[in-house]
Amino acid sequence: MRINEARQRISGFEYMLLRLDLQSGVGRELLSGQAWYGIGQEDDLMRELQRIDVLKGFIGEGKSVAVNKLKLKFSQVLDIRGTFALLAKEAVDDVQLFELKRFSLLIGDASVYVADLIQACAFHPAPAGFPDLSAVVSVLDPRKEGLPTFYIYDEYSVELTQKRKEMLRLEARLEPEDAKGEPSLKDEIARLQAECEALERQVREDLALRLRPHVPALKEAMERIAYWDLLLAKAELAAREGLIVPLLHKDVWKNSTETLRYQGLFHPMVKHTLEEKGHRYQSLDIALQKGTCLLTGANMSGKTVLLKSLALAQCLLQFGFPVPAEKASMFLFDSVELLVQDEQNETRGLSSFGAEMQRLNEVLRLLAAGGRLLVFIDELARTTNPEEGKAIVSAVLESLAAACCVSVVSTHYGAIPNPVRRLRIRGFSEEKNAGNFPDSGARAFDISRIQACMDYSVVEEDLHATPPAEALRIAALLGFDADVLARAKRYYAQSKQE
Amino acid sequence: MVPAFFDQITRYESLSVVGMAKNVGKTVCLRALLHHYREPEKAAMLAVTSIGTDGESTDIVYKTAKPELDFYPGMVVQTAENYFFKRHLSAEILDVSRENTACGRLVTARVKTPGKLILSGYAYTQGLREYIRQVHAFGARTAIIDGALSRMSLASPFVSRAMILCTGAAFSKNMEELVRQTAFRHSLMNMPVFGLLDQTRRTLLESLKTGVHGVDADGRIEDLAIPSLLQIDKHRQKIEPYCRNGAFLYIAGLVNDPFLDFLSARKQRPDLIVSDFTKFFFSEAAYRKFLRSGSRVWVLQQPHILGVCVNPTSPDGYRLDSAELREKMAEALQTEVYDILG
Repeated sequence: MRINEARQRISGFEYMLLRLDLQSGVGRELLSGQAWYGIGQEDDLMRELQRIDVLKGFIGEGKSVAVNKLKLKFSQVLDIRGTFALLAKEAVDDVQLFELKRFSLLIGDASVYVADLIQACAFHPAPAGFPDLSAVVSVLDPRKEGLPTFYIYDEYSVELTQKRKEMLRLEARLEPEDAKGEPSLKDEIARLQAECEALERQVREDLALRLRPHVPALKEAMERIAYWDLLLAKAELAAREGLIVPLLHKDVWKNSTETLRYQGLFHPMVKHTLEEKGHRYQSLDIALQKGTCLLTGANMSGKTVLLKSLALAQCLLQFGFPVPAEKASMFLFDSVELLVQDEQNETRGLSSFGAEMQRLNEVLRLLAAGGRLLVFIDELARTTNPEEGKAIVSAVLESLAAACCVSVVSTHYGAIPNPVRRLRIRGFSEEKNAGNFPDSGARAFDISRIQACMDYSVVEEDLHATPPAEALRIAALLGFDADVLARAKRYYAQSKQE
Repeated sequence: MVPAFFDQITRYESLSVVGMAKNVGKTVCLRALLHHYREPEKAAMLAVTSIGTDGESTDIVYKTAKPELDFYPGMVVQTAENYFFKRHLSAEILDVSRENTACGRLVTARVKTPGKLILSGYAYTQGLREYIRQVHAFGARTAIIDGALSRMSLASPFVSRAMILCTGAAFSKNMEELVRQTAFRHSLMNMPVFGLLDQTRRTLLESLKTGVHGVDADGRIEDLAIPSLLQIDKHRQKIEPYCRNGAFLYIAGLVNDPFLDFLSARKQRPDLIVSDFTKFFFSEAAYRKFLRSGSRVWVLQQPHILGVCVNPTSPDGYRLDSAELREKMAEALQTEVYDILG
């Protein structure tokens, strides 16, 4: 799975990436090329996650000064890889030499901070620090001033020094009136100027020869900037959002009965949105086994958010991030497929049903090709008639049950005959309501009323349970038009009798 | 001759050199100024940049090359990368900007050997402020800005307090006309500073970027919710309460002829407050009419005009009498006037 695909398809993933406080352009570039940690790369992933976890702990102890010093250095790094490439082939100009010097001095400072950080944190194993660029600095700083400034210093050439002195001597003799007069003196100065420029060119050639052997170290230093920038940003994100490193299982696809298990799973974007509005957010406990299961729950009970949270957590993990939960036990997949109703169908010229079938087809093809997938399908076939819709749900469940995947299909349809595990979100709780709100008579359409009465926890259902029919009850609580609601109730009672 | 005020510029942290037209000797003046500071310890007090050119390397009107100036060891210069590469001097690079101009990033450098360089720096207010801040950090005492006629707003006293004004035969070949026009512009630049407000309210007015605001004699400020002077007739009734003696209108943007005429047509008029002279876009006639009605124009900030330089020769070779011009100009402006080449 590519990161750009995940940004578009996995709700809340882009949101998390935008909350990364990256300082450098190269750090941002590293993120946009971040590869998917696939099955078999558990050890690599765990090593990175543990580094993030160690740093998160360090930041959590209030020792962010060292981190902030380093971030400040990263923010000053300009992407001069073009200069490195040029230097490998030819002489570079003064501005580029200046950039090389400034960069190398910056790396010198940053490497001290990173060395301190590595020492203060008990990494296991520690990530590499920065390469030593003091040789580059010494070439570009013949006066050992340690300042981020540059020019073709006198120290580079005795001849140049002499010519410059001579030029200054002649220039001092030039009177204001000589702006026009005494051509011989002016000519002499111009000749010296041209000679100095030629000597400076020669110095630049020499400098390029002396610097060329250090190009690999310079490139490596830039890569380390990107790596540490991203690492720190992930650690800070983890500390800020409460992300954790899960227990990661290997070799689960050969006959093991491992489950995906979360305690306190949450969706950071939804959580923030609700909390900003002063609502409460309920995190969830859930365990998923290999194969498939059917998820039911009343309207507004959070089925979609649950599926999105599960997809997001997996996606974050496999792009090298800790996950939004209190505790988790996970394993890796070839990809995460999240099928929810979105608004992009029109632009693709497809009806909702057409778009859903197309996406489903992609997933089935991946499964048929042996892909080990994590699949979430929200309200499968809801946009067609219930009879045929149910048939589609049954057929898809059957094929998912036989495939190499962990999958959840949510639905409102009752009487799905497949012998698959069933989960239900508790949903509307009469106890929580406890007569707070009458059935109707609300003046305005008010979502917060429902929010207060919802229990979002997940429970196991037996095979024959039918999905809850609470749509009318919830519509009433929302303050839906009383007249229309009364008619709906009549129709519903009628259909039950039949 | 070398103007006496050249020695005073280092009292100011920034200085704009402004020409009233093309080819009025601004470059000649700047060249003389830099030469005057050529001794190393004096040179180190100056930093120089020029308002950016957005890429054109020649003067569009007269097709003359953008001037190369002579710089001396110790001076700090700021120019675009493309011009820096074409320099004929050695300079120690102190900084390279992050943002790009049409001619590349801006290089700030300290001159090491004397020679020529073309300047092209920031072309917007915030950038110029950054230039002033930066070169001061590098040890310069006075940050000089070579102004551009097409970007008069950048000569705002809110950017640089001190100013050198250049005028000459290129502006008008008729001496009387040249003196009269220059005197008028000079008087606009010397518009009195509005002193009725305390610092807090002054700062508040300065921060307003658009609209028309009423100010009463007690210093109360009211936003009249007029987005632009272009629709002034539509908002006539909002202005009416301030159309009386002793009231003020603060115009956050430009003031033009139609607006002055609109006010002049009222029976009673307020005084006008404008941020500074770069916001004046009205003709002499409209302004005189406004004054006749007894109202005045005030500014929040006035530049300090250090001196006036005249160039008696027009670009096509016509030459006014230098001594006579200087004398008449000095009398009209009540300040010393110099002809650098005279």
